[in-house]
Amino acid sequence: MTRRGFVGPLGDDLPSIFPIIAAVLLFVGTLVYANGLVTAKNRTLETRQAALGLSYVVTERGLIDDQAEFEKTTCEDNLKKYALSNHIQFVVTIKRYCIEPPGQRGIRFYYPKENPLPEEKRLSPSYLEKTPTDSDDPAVVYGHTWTYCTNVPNARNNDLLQVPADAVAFTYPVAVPCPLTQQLPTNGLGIINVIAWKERGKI
Amino acid sequence: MKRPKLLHQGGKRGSERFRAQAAIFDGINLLLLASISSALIFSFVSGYGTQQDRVLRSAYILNYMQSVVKASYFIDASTLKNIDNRESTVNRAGNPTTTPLEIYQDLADSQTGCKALARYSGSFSVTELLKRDLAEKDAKLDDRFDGTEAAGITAYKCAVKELMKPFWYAGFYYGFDVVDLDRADGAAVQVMPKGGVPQYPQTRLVTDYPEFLKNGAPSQFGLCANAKAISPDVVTVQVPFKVIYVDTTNFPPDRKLRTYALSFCIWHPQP
Repeated sequence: MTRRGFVGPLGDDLPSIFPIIAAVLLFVGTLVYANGLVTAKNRTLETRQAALGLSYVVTERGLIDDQAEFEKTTCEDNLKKYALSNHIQFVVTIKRYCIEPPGQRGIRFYYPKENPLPEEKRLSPSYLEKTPTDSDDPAVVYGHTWTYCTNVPNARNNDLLQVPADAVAFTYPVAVPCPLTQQLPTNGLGIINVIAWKERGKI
Repeated sequence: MKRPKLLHQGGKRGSERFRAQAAIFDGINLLLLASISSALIFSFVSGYGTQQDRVLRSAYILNYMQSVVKASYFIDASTLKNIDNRESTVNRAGNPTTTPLEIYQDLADSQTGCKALARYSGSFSVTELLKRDLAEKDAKLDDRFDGTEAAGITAYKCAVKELMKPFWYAGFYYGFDVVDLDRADGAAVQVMPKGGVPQYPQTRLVTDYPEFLKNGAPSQFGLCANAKAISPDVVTVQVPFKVIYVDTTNFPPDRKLRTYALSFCIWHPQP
Protein backbone atom coordinates (compact mmCIF):
# COMPACT_ATOMS: atom_id res chain seq x y z
CA MET A 1 0.00 0.00 0.00
CA THR A 2 1.39 3.38 -0.97
CA ARG A 3 0.97 6.52 1.11
CA ARG A 4 0.43 9.63 -0.98
CA GLY A 5 2.66 12.62 -0.08
CA PHE A 6 4.88 10.74 2.28
CA VAL A 7 8.53 10.67 1.20
CA GLY A 8 9.98 8.85 4.15
CA PRO A 9 10.92 9.84 7.71
CA LEU A 10 13.90 11.99 6.59
CA GLY A 11 12.35 13.26 3.39
CA ASP A 12 9.35 14.57 5.22
CA ASP A 13 11.54 16.71 7.53
CA LEU A 14 13.95 17.77 4.77
CA PRO A 15 12.45 21.25 4.15
CA SER A 16 12.70 22.08 7.84
CA ILE A 17 16.40 21.19 7.96
CA PHE A 18 17.35 24.23 5.80
CA PRO A 19 15.99 26.93 8.15
CA ILE A 20 17.42 25.04 11.13
CA ILE A 21 20.90 24.91 9.60
CA ALA A 22 20.61 28.57 8.54
CA ALA A 23 19.57 29.54 12.07
CA VAL A 24 22.44 27.63 13.68
CA LEU A 25 24.97 29.08 11.19
CA LEU A 26 23.64 32.62 11.69
CA PHE A 27 23.78 32.35 15.48
CA VAL A 28 27.20 30.72 15.65
CA GLY A 29 28.57 33.14 13.04
CA THR A 30 27.26 36.09 15.00
CA LEU A 31 28.79 34.77 18.21
CA VAL A 32 32.18 34.24 16.58
CA TYR A 33 32.13 37.66 14.92
CA ALA A 34 30.96 39.42 18.10
CA ASN A 35 33.64 37.64 20.11
CA GLY A 36 36.25 38.88 17.65
CA LEU A 37 34.97 42.45 17.90
CA VAL A 38 34.83 42.40 21.70
CA THR A 39 38.34 40.94 21.92
CA ALA A 40 39.71 43.57 19.54
CA LYS A 41 37.95 46.35 21.44
CA ASN A 42 39.24 45.03 24.78
CA ARG A 43 42.73 44.88 23.36
CA THR A 44 42.52 48.50 22.20
CA LEU A 45 41.08 49.69 25.51
CA GLU A 46 43.72 47.84 27.52
CA THR A 47 46.47 49.29 25.33
CA ARG A 48 45.07 52.80 25.70
CA GLN A 49 44.77 52.36 29.46
CA ALA A 50 48.35 51.11 29.70
CA ALA A 51 49.59 53.97 27.49
CA LEU A 52 47.77 56.43 29.76
CA GLY A 53 49.48 54.80 32.76
CA LEU A 54 52.87 55.30 31.10
CA SER A 55 51.91 58.91 30.32
CA TYR A 56 51.10 59.64 33.96
CA VAL A 57 54.59 58.49 34.91
CA VAL A 58 56.36 60.60 32.26
CA THR A 59 54.29 63.76 32.75
CA GLU A 60 54.49 63.62 36.54
CA ARG A 61 56.56 66.80 36.93
CA GLY A 62 56.09 68.78 33.75
CA LEU A 63 59.86 69.08 33.49
CA ILE A 64 62.46 66.59 32.29
CA ASP A 65 65.80 68.24 32.86
CA ASP A 66 68.23 65.40 33.48
CA GLN A 67 68.82 62.92 30.69
CA ALA A 68 70.69 60.42 32.90
CA GLU A 69 68.07 60.51 35.62
CA PHE A 70 65.30 60.00 33.08
CA GLU A 71 67.05 57.00 31.59
CA LYS A 72 67.83 55.44 34.97
CA THR A 73 64.92 56.24 37.26
CA THR A 74 61.97 57.00 35.02
CA CYS A 75 62.82 54.58 32.25
CA GLU A 76 64.40 51.54 33.92
CA ASP A 77 62.65 51.66 37.31
CA ASN A 78 59.20 52.91 36.35
CA LEU A 79 58.28 52.70 32.68
CA LYS A 80 59.81 49.33 31.84
CA LYS A 81 58.42 47.67 34.95
CA TYR A 82 54.97 49.09 34.32
CA ALA A 83 55.07 47.89 30.70
CA LEU A 84 56.20 44.43 31.79
CA SER A 85 53.28 44.01 34.17
CA ASN A 86 50.83 45.21 31.51
CA HIS A 87 52.28 43.09 28.67
CA ILE A 88 52.85 46.04 26.38
CA GLN A 89 55.69 47.28 24.27
CA PHE A 90 56.33 50.99 24.18
CA VAL A 91 58.57 53.76 23.06
CA VAL A 92 58.72 57.16 24.77
CA THR A 93 60.63 59.92 23.00
CA ILE A 94 61.35 63.40 24.26
CA LYS A 95 61.94 66.15 21.75
CA ARG A 96 63.17 69.70 22.15
CA TYR A 97 61.85 72.74 20.32
CA CYS A 98 63.83 75.36 22.25
CA ILE A 99 65.85 76.81 19.41
CA GLU A 100 64.51 77.07 15.92
CA PRO A 101 66.28 76.87 12.58
CA PRO A 102 65.38 79.56 10.01
CA GLY A 103 61.82 79.22 8.78
CA GLN A 104 60.62 77.24 11.79
CA ARG A 105 59.07 78.47 15.01
CA GLY A 106 57.46 76.84 17.99
CA ILE A 107 56.48 73.22 18.15
CA ARG A 108 56.01 71.30 14.92
CA PHE A 109 53.47 68.56 15.50
CA TYR A 110 53.22 67.24 11.97
CA TYR A 111 55.72 65.37 9.86
CA PRO A 112 55.38 63.61 6.52
CA LYS A 113 54.81 59.90 6.97
CA GLU A 114 55.44 58.99 3.37
CA ASN A 115 58.89 59.48 1.91
CA PRO A 116 60.18 61.88 4.55
CA LEU A 117 63.40 63.74 3.89
CA PRO A 118 66.30 62.73 6.18
CA GLU A 119 65.85 65.85 8.32
CA GLU A 120 62.09 65.29 8.46
CA LYS A 121 62.57 61.67 9.48
CA ARG A 122 64.14 62.90 12.69
CA LEU A 123 60.87 64.65 13.59
CA SER A 124 59.08 61.32 13.73
CA PRO A 125 57.74 60.38 17.21
CA SER A 126 59.50 57.01 16.97
CA TYR A 127 62.92 58.31 15.89
CA LEU A 128 65.48 56.87 18.29
CA GLU A 129 68.82 58.42 17.45
CA LYS A 130 69.65 60.81 20.28
CA THR A 131 71.08 64.26 19.67
CA PRO A 132 74.09 65.32 21.73
CA THR A 133 72.99 67.25 24.82
CA ASP A 134 75.64 69.94 24.40
CA SER A 135 74.87 70.68 20.76
CA ASP A 136 73.51 74.17 20.20
CA ASP A 137 72.97 73.83 16.47
CA PRO A 138 69.26 74.47 15.83
CA ALA A 139 69.34 72.12 12.85
CA VAL A 140 70.40 69.31 15.19
CA VAL A 141 68.28 70.21 18.22
CA TYR A 142 64.93 71.28 16.74
CA GLY A 143 62.42 68.42 16.90
CA HIS A 144 65.05 65.73 17.25
CA THR A 145 64.94 63.06 19.90
CA TRP A 146 66.80 64.28 22.97
CA THR A 147 66.29 61.10 24.92
CA TYR A 148 64.06 58.05 24.74
CA CYS A 149 62.97 54.93 26.57
CA THR A 150 61.76 51.68 25.05
CA ASN A 151 61.44 48.02 25.90
CA VAL A 152 61.55 46.88 22.27
CA PRO A 153 64.40 44.38 21.88
CA ASN A 154 67.22 45.56 19.59
CA ALA A 155 65.57 48.98 19.19
CA ARG A 156 69.00 50.62 19.18
CA ASN A 157 69.70 49.01 15.82
CA ASN A 158 67.02 51.14 14.14
CA ASP A 159 67.07 54.90 13.94
CA LEU A 160 63.37 54.98 13.00
CA LEU A 161 61.46 52.36 14.96
CA GLN A 162 58.60 50.86 12.99
CA VAL A 163 55.56 50.65 15.22
CA PRO A 164 52.52 48.47 14.46
CA ALA A 165 49.46 50.05 12.89
CA ASP A 166 47.35 49.35 16.00
CA ALA A 167 49.73 51.23 18.32
CA VAL A 168 48.28 53.94 20.57
CA ALA A 169 50.12 57.27 20.46
CA PHE A 170 49.81 60.18 22.90
CA THR A 171 51.62 63.52 22.84
CA TYR A 172 52.16 65.82 25.81
CA PRO A 173 53.92 69.13 26.35
CA VAL A 174 56.87 69.28 28.72
CA ALA A 175 59.62 71.69 29.70
CA VAL A 176 63.09 70.57 28.65
CA PRO A 177 66.53 72.13 29.10
CA CYS A 178 67.60 74.23 26.15
CA PRO A 179 71.18 74.21 24.91
CA LEU A 180 73.38 76.67 26.73
CA THR A 181 73.34 79.28 24.01
CA GLN A 182 73.22 82.20 26.41
CA GLN A 183 75.40 80.80 29.21
CA LEU A 184 72.30 80.53 31.37
CA PRO A 185 70.41 77.32 32.07
CA THR A 186 66.97 77.79 30.53
CA ASN A 187 64.05 75.46 30.04
CA GLY A 188 62.03 75.62 26.89
CA LEU A 189 59.33 73.94 24.84
CA GLY A 190 59.44 70.21 24.43
CA ILE A 191 57.09 67.34 23.77
CA ILE A 192 56.78 63.79 25.00
CA ASN A 193 55.55 61.09 22.61
CA VAL A 194 54.17 57.95 24.21
CA ILE A 195 53.54 55.07 21.78
CA ALA A 196 52.36 51.71 23.10
CA TRP A 197 51.06 48.48 21.65
CA LYS A 198 50.19 44.99 22.86
CA GLU A 199 52.84 42.34 22.66
CA ARG A 200 52.02 39.84 19.93
CA GLY A 201 50.15 36.79 21.25
CA LYS A 202 49.29 38.49 24.55
CA ILE A 203 45.65 39.38 25.15
CA MET B 1 -23.59 8.48 4.20
CA LYS B 2 -20.00 7.98 5.12
CA ARG B 3 -18.43 11.01 6.79
CA PRO B 4 -14.96 11.93 5.54
CA LYS B 5 -12.30 11.48 8.16
CA LEU B 6 -10.88 14.77 9.35
CA LEU B 7 -7.13 15.04 9.30
CA HIS B 8 -6.78 15.77 12.97
CA GLN B 9 -8.92 12.88 13.81
CA GLY B 10 -6.17 10.48 13.10
CA GLY B 11 -5.27 8.31 10.29
CA LYS B 12 -1.66 7.67 9.47
CA ARG B 13 -1.57 9.96 6.44
CA GLY B 14 -2.95 12.96 8.34
CA SER B 15 -0.58 12.75 11.28
CA GLU B 16 2.48 12.47 8.97
CA ARG B 17 1.44 15.60 7.04
CA PHE B 18 0.96 17.43 10.33
CA ARG B 19 4.36 16.29 11.57
CA ALA B 20 6.07 17.68 8.44
CA GLN B 21 4.26 21.00 8.79
CA ALA B 22 5.19 21.23 12.48
CA ALA B 23 8.83 20.51 11.70
CA ILE B 24 9.14 23.28 9.10
CA PHE B 25 7.26 25.64 11.39
CA ASP B 26 9.78 24.85 14.16
CA GLY B 27 12.64 25.47 11.74
CA ILE B 28 11.30 28.88 10.72
CA ASN B 29 10.69 29.74 14.36
CA LEU B 30 14.26 28.82 15.20
CA LEU B 31 15.54 30.98 12.32
CA LEU B 32 13.45 33.87 13.57
CA LEU B 33 14.76 33.40 17.10
CA ALA B 34 18.35 33.21 15.83
CA SER B 35 17.85 36.40 13.80
CA ILE B 36 16.48 38.28 16.83
CA SER B 37 19.34 36.99 19.00
CA SER B 38 21.89 38.06 16.37
CA ALA B 39 20.35 41.51 16.17
CA LEU B 40 20.54 41.80 19.97
CA ILE B 41 24.18 40.68 19.97
CA PHE B 42 25.09 43.21 17.26
CA SER B 43 23.29 45.91 19.18
CA PHE B 44 25.33 45.03 22.30
CA VAL B 45 28.61 44.87 20.39
CA SER B 46 28.09 48.22 18.66
CA GLY B 47 27.83 49.97 22.02
CA TYR B 48 30.45 47.86 23.76
CA GLY B 49 33.36 49.86 25.16
CA THR B 50 31.95 53.24 24.16
CA GLN B 51 31.78 54.51 27.73
CA GLN B 52 35.28 53.22 28.54
CA ASP B 53 36.52 54.87 25.36
CA ARG B 54 34.97 58.20 26.37
CA VAL B 55 36.50 57.96 29.83
CA LEU B 56 39.96 57.20 28.42
CA ARG B 57 39.74 60.07 25.91
CA SER B 58 38.63 62.44 28.63
CA ALA B 59 41.51 61.21 30.85
CA TYR B 60 43.96 61.94 28.03
CA ILE B 61 42.59 65.47 27.52
CA LEU B 62 42.74 66.17 31.26
CA ASN B 63 46.29 64.87 31.51
CA TYR B 64 47.28 66.96 28.50
CA MET B 65 45.83 70.13 30.01
CA GLN B 66 47.47 69.42 33.35
CA SER B 67 50.75 68.99 31.48
CA VAL B 68 50.29 72.38 29.81
CA VAL B 69 49.86 74.06 33.20
CA LYS B 70 52.76 72.09 34.74
CA ALA B 71 55.07 72.94 31.84
CA SER B 72 54.22 76.64 32.12
CA TYR B 73 55.82 76.63 35.59
CA PHE B 74 59.19 75.67 34.09
CA ILE B 75 59.34 77.15 30.58
CA ASP B 76 61.47 80.29 30.52
CA ALA B 77 59.60 83.17 28.96
CA SER B 78 62.65 84.21 26.93
CA THR B 79 62.63 80.92 25.00
CA LEU B 80 59.30 81.94 23.45
CA LYS B 81 60.72 85.03 21.76
CA ASN B 82 60.46 83.57 18.24
CA ILE B 83 56.76 82.70 18.50
CA ASP B 84 54.48 84.83 16.34
CA ASN B 85 51.22 84.46 14.45
CA ARG B 86 52.68 82.45 11.59
CA GLU B 87 51.87 78.77 11.56
CA SER B 88 53.81 76.15 9.65
CA THR B 89 51.48 73.89 7.72
CA VAL B 90 51.44 71.87 4.54
CA ASN B 91 49.66 73.21 1.46
CA ARG B 92 47.48 71.20 -0.92
CA ALA B 93 50.48 70.23 -2.99
CA GLY B 94 52.07 68.78 0.14
CA ASN B 95 54.78 71.44 0.42
CA PRO B 96 55.56 73.15 3.73
CA THR B 97 54.21 76.68 3.98
CA THR B 98 53.51 79.29 6.64
CA THR B 99 50.15 80.93 7.20
CA PRO B 100 49.59 84.07 9.31
CA LEU B 101 46.72 83.67 11.77
CA GLU B 102 44.54 86.67 12.55
CA ILE B 103 43.61 85.51 16.03
CA TYR B 104 47.27 85.63 17.07
CA GLN B 105 48.14 88.85 15.24
CA ASP B 106 49.06 90.62 18.48
CA LEU B 107 51.77 88.06 19.17
CA ALA B 108 53.67 89.22 16.07
CA ASP B 109 54.11 92.77 17.38
CA SER B 110 57.81 93.46 17.92
CA GLN B 111 57.22 95.61 21.03
CA THR B 112 54.28 93.93 22.76
CA GLY B 113 54.24 90.45 21.22
CA CYS B 114 56.30 87.36 21.99
CA LYS B 115 59.47 89.06 20.75
CA ALA B 116 59.30 91.32 23.83
CA LEU B 117 59.92 88.24 26.00
CA ALA B 118 63.60 88.28 24.96
CA ARG B 119 63.98 90.93 27.68
CA TYR B 120 63.47 88.29 30.39
CA SER B 121 66.47 86.28 29.35
CA GLY B 122 67.11 83.27 31.58
CA SER B 123 65.37 84.72 34.58
CA PHE B 124 61.61 84.23 34.54
CA SER B 125 59.36 81.29 33.87
CA VAL B 126 56.01 81.98 32.26
CA THR B 127 54.08 81.65 35.53
CA GLU B 128 56.60 83.81 37.42
CA LEU B 129 55.91 86.58 34.91
CA LEU B 130 52.18 86.01 35.34
CA LYS B 131 52.56 86.35 39.12
CA ARG B 132 54.40 89.61 38.61
CA ASP B 133 51.62 90.82 36.31
CA LEU B 134 49.13 90.14 39.13
CA ALA B 135 51.18 91.49 42.05
CA GLU B 136 49.87 95.05 42.03
CA LYS B 137 47.31 96.91 44.07
CA ASP B 138 44.40 96.44 41.68
CA ALA B 139 45.16 93.05 40.21
CA LYS B 140 44.55 92.99 36.48
CA LEU B 141 46.25 91.27 33.59
CA ASP B 142 47.73 94.11 31.59
CA ASP B 143 51.38 93.08 31.10
CA ARG B 144 52.40 95.61 33.73
CA PHE B 145 53.68 95.42 37.28
CA ASP B 146 52.84 98.80 38.74
CA GLY B 147 54.87 101.16 36.57
CA THR B 148 57.14 98.61 34.93
CA GLU B 149 56.61 96.07 32.20
CA ALA B 150 55.85 92.47 33.13
CA ALA B 151 54.50 90.67 30.09
CA GLY B 152 52.83 87.92 32.13
CA ILE B 153 49.61 87.38 30.22
CA THR B 154 51.35 87.76 26.86
CA ALA B 155 53.96 85.18 27.89
CA TYR B 156 51.15 82.81 28.85
CA LYS B 157 49.42 83.40 25.54
CA CYS B 158 52.64 82.72 23.59
CA ALA B 159 53.22 79.48 25.53
CA VAL B 160 49.63 78.26 25.27
CA LYS B 161 49.50 79.02 21.55
CA GLU B 162 52.29 76.51 21.01
CA LEU B 163 51.32 73.96 23.63
CA MET B 164 47.69 73.71 22.54
CA LYS B 165 48.46 73.21 18.86
CA PRO B 166 47.27 69.57 18.64
CA PHE B 167 43.83 70.52 19.92
CA TRP B 168 43.71 73.68 17.85
CA TYR B 169 44.46 71.56 14.76
CA ALA B 170 41.66 69.21 15.82
CA GLY B 171 39.09 72.03 15.95
CA PHE B 172 38.90 72.47 19.71
CA TYR B 173 38.85 75.85 21.39
CA TYR B 174 40.59 76.73 24.63
CA GLY B 175 40.29 79.44 27.23
CA PHE B 176 42.38 80.54 30.16
CA ASP B 177 41.32 82.55 33.22
CA VAL B 178 42.85 83.60 36.47
CA VAL B 179 40.03 83.20 38.99
CA ASP B 180 40.17 85.36 42.10
CA LEU B 181 39.35 83.02 44.99
CA ASP B 182 39.51 85.85 47.55
CA ARG B 183 36.35 87.31 46.03
CA ALA B 184 33.12 85.79 47.27
CA ASP B 185 31.67 85.50 43.76
CA GLY B 186 34.84 83.90 42.32
CA ALA B 187 35.05 86.28 39.37
CA ALA B 188 37.96 86.13 36.96
CA VAL B 189 40.71 88.73 37.05
CA GLN B 190 40.09 91.34 34.41
CA VAL B 191 42.18 91.10 31.25
CA MET B 192 42.81 94.55 29.81
CA PRO B 193 42.33 95.15 26.07
CA LYS B 194 45.51 95.51 24.11
CA GLY B 195 44.59 97.35 20.92
CA GLY B 196 46.46 97.21 17.67
CA VAL B 197 44.22 94.53 16.15
CA PRO B 198 40.95 96.31 15.18
CA GLN B 199 39.00 93.14 14.34
CA TYR B 200 39.85 91.60 17.72
CA PRO B 201 39.73 94.32 20.40
CA GLN B 202 40.00 91.76 23.24
CA THR B 203 43.10 90.25 21.76
CA ARG B 204 44.96 89.93 25.07
CA LEU B 205 42.56 87.19 26.19
CA VAL B 206 44.20 83.76 26.16
CA THR B 207 41.84 81.93 23.84
CA ASP B 208 41.54 80.90 20.21
CA TYR B 209 37.77 81.39 20.11
CA PRO B 210 37.22 84.34 17.73
CA GLU B 211 33.93 85.43 19.34
CA PHE B 212 35.61 86.01 22.71
CA LEU B 213 38.48 87.87 21.05
CA LYS B 214 35.94 90.16 19.34
CA ASN B 215 33.51 90.83 22.17
CA GLY B 216 35.17 89.52 25.31
CA ALA B 217 33.55 87.16 27.78
CA PRO B 218 29.83 87.91 28.26
CA SER B 219 30.11 87.76 32.06
CA GLN B 220 32.76 88.55 34.65
CA PHE B 221 33.31 84.87 35.48
CA GLY B 222 35.81 84.34 32.72
CA LEU B 223 36.07 82.42 29.48
CA CYS B 224 35.63 78.94 30.94
CA ALA B 225 32.38 79.80 32.70
CA ASN B 226 31.05 81.43 29.53
CA ALA B 227 32.18 78.55 27.32
CA LYS B 228 29.53 76.41 29.02
CA ALA B 229 26.92 78.38 27.11
CA ILE B 230 28.57 77.41 23.84
CA SER B 231 29.20 73.74 24.49
CA PRO B 232 27.86 71.24 27.02
CA ASP B 233 31.24 69.45 27.08
CA VAL B 234 33.71 71.87 28.61
CA VAL B 235 36.70 70.19 30.25
CA THR B 236 38.33 72.43 32.84
CA VAL B 237 41.49 72.10 34.88
CA GLN B 238 42.00 74.39 37.86
CA VAL B 239 45.22 74.69 39.84
CA PRO B 240 45.82 76.88 42.89
CA PHE B 241 47.99 79.91 42.29
CA LYS B 242 49.20 82.13 45.14
CA VAL B 243 50.65 85.56 44.65
CA ILE B 244 52.40 87.71 47.23
CA TYR B 245 51.50 91.37 46.96
CA VAL B 246 53.69 93.86 48.81
CA ASP B 247 52.03 97.18 49.56
CA THR B 248 54.91 99.62 49.67
CA THR B 249 52.73 102.62 50.46
CA ASN B 250 52.77 101.60 54.12
CA PHE B 251 55.79 101.44 56.37
CA PRO B 252 56.80 98.75 57.04
CA PRO B 253 55.48 97.35 53.74
CA ASP B 254 52.41 95.11 54.01
CA ARG B 255 52.71 91.61 52.60
CA LYS B 256 49.46 90.03 51.48
CA LEU B 257 48.96 86.55 50.13
CA ARG B 258 46.37 86.50 47.40
CA THR B 259 44.75 83.24 46.37
CA TYR B 260 43.95 82.67 42.72
CA ALA B 261 43.24 79.62 40.59
CA LEU B 262 44.54 79.13 37.08
CA SER B 263 41.54 77.88 35.16
CA PHE B 264 42.25 76.27 31.83
CA CYS B 265 39.45 74.83 29.71
CA ILE B 266 38.83 73.23 26.35
CA TRP B 267 35.63 72.72 24.39
CA HIS B 268 34.27 71.71 21.04
CA PRO B 269 31.35 73.82 19.80
CA GLN B 270 28.21 71.89 19.02
CA PRO B 271 27.41 71.73 15.28
